[in-house]
Amino acid sequence: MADKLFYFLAFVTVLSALMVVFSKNPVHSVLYLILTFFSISGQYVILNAQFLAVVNIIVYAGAIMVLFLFVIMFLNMRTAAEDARKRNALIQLAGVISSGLLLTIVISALVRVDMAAHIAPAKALNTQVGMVENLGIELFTNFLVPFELASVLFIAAMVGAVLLAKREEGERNAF
Amino acid sequence: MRTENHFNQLSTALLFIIGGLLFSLISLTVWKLLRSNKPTEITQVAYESGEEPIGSALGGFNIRFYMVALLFVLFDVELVFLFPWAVVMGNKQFNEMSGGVWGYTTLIEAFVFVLLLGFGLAYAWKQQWLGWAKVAINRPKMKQVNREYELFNEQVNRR
Amino acid sequence: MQEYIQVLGVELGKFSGLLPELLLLIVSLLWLLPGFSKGQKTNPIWLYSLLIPIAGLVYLRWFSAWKGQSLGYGAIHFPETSKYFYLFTAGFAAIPIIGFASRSWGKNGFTFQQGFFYLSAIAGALLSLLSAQLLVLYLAIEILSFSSYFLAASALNKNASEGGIKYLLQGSAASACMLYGISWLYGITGTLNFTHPLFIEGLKMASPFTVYMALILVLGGITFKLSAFPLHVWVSNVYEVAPMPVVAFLSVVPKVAMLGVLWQLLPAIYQAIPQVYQLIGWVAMASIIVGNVTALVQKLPIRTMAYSTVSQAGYLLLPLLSGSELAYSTLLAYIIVYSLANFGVLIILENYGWKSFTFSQFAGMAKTHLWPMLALLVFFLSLIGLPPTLGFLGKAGLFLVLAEGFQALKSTFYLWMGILALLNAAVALFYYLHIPYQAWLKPKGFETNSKVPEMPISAKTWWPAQILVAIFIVILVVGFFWNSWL
Repeated sequence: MADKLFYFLAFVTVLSALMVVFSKNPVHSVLYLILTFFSISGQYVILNAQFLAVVNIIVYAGAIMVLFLFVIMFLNMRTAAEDARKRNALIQLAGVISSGLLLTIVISALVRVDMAAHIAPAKALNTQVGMVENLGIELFTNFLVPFELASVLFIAAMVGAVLLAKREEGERNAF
Repeated sequence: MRTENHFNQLSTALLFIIGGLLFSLISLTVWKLLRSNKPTEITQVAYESGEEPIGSALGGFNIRFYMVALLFVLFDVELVFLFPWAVVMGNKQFNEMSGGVWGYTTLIEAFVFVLLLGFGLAYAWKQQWLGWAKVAINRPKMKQVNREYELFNEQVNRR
Repeated sequence: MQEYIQVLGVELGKFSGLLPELLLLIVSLLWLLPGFSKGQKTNPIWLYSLLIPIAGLVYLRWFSAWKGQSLGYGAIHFPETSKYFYLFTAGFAAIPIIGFASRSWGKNGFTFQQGFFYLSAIAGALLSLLSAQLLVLYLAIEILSFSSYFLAASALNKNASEGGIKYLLQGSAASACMLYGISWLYGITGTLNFTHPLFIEGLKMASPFTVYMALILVLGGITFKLSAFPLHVWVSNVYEVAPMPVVAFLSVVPKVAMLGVLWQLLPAIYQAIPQVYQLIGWVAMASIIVGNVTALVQKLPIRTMAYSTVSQAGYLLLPLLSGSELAYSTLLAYIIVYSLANFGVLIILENYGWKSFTFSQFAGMAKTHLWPMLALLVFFLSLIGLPPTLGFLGKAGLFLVLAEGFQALKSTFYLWMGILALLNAAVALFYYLHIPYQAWLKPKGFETNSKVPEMPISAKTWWPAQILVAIFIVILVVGFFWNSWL
């Protein structure tokens, strides 16, 4: 059951990820990206990370996709599409080759990982590991320092966003 | 033990997902079968609460929307951290296990977390990044318009 | 899981050990408070009040225990070898505050927001030095990075925000790489704590190819902060647009912090896979060569300085090829030499209004500005590593470390490293001595004057900067002789 589900979800993930790249309309790309996130959430459920699956939908498919859509709406899409057509073929080729090489290296590195050697059998049996309660305990004991540092990072990001978005007086965006 | 097979527990969730998809698909097809299909210029217009739309829906947005969305993402991530907190915070068993410090620790930590972000939000607010640029209302002009109305009324009254 | 809860009370008690850094974070937040009532304008007293928390931190950490104790479930530790990195990071962070006047910080002078970002950047750098857990390390580096992006953009003109956003985009790519690498390391070893024995065990069991890949990804984030080869592209852009005190900060403080982090992280990895030193060696050599070659062809001194820091980052990585006692002291010595000389050059360029000069505009400058030119000469000589300065001892130490490594491992890799580093030190001669060459050997030509788009704002110098420059020169020159007596 689990492997069949995995292959189905993997197929949907890869297919929708490819559609993100190949679709002409950027809004369609974003919609395909949402589908990708949903299928990745399904993978998380198979991997026993139930809370992470929900978070993935709330944060990525919910909030971050809204940001993506905003950015697409800010830009004038017609000129962007024309720019893309004019782009140098050599650069495209270089991009394909370098990312293909990276993919090859990453896959060949991942293939060498011997999962059975690392996961103790006792650890593998606990299916509750990805539940909210366990995460809560981990968050407030083992990961107490990172938890608080994250809030400092958030405030720095927030103040910085305010600073970067600040414009000269009188400069206004067209509505 | 409830750890035997987590798929069994999640099958309820799966049923809900499938049910939701089915319901929406059925209602869409029924809709499609029942409604008449006569496209005219009026029916093709996007419906905006009785208002006629102006311009394209794909036009430029004001960048201030982006600021709000950005702050929303930050608070969304904060919410994700507060979910586990809400589940474990009031646990009596954990509190006894840790010798009575569990409850206070989690409470204070979460408060520090929320307060820091609240501080940031208040800062963004005070720097006037949540409000819109004030539209300068041309008072003299308004007065002039009012004056015109008054003159018009006077003329009507005289008649 | 339950054992974590049982020791919560004990762990909470240990948190007092982190009090200085927590206080620094709180003080940095206080800098946001003025933004609630009035604008961002400050007066210079506020700028110098930044020194108080830094001095307090150095004072407290100087006398506190550095015995490898840990806190926060092993997330933070205080290893003995990190002490000097910590003190240097905090101490060097104070120098841009003294060396530059308030007007150097931006159009409106130093602002409260800059104060917040400055202090949180320092806190991030220091926490990254103390972290024993990869996630804490990542978050600390991110705090440092985010503060750096916004400091770089804080001049609030169009160029600055463009430069800041470019810096941010490259930085987020680098941090994504690092996070991915960390997840690999976690997958390989099953622990995030890199001081844990399980970490080394896991690395030993895994295939070296996988570990290399994970390390390259993690090093991506670290080399970005070090401004070393693969991710050095941001340097020249930021140097041009950011306010000079920020440039001085970014050229030294993150570097020192990241070297301290690598000094903690690499021994664990060397234990598992000794050949990793070659990876560090390649990164070092590539940054030296790329930095040098690009610095040679630059037309603006400030861009030359930017690319020269890339090559200096490569030199700073060389001692990490071996973990010996000699390498440790050499690294610290080289950090002092590099930081003081680099600060000196930037302080002089800014305070005499020479930031946007071209090389030819320095022609004949020795007659009108003898003392600043002499000071620049001393700093450039120490950056190259020529005899009457401490820089010579720093470079000599690097070659000694490489020779030691060659003897210990009988690997010709060290030999080639040494030869290439020596050749590149000779190349550095050309661009570092370009300004002194123009100032002393070229007459004040007529064609340079006609090309000048704008003259310096003012040649008024900032007196604390002059004192600092004098102190640096004394350290760099006297350090050489004092050491040779030993």
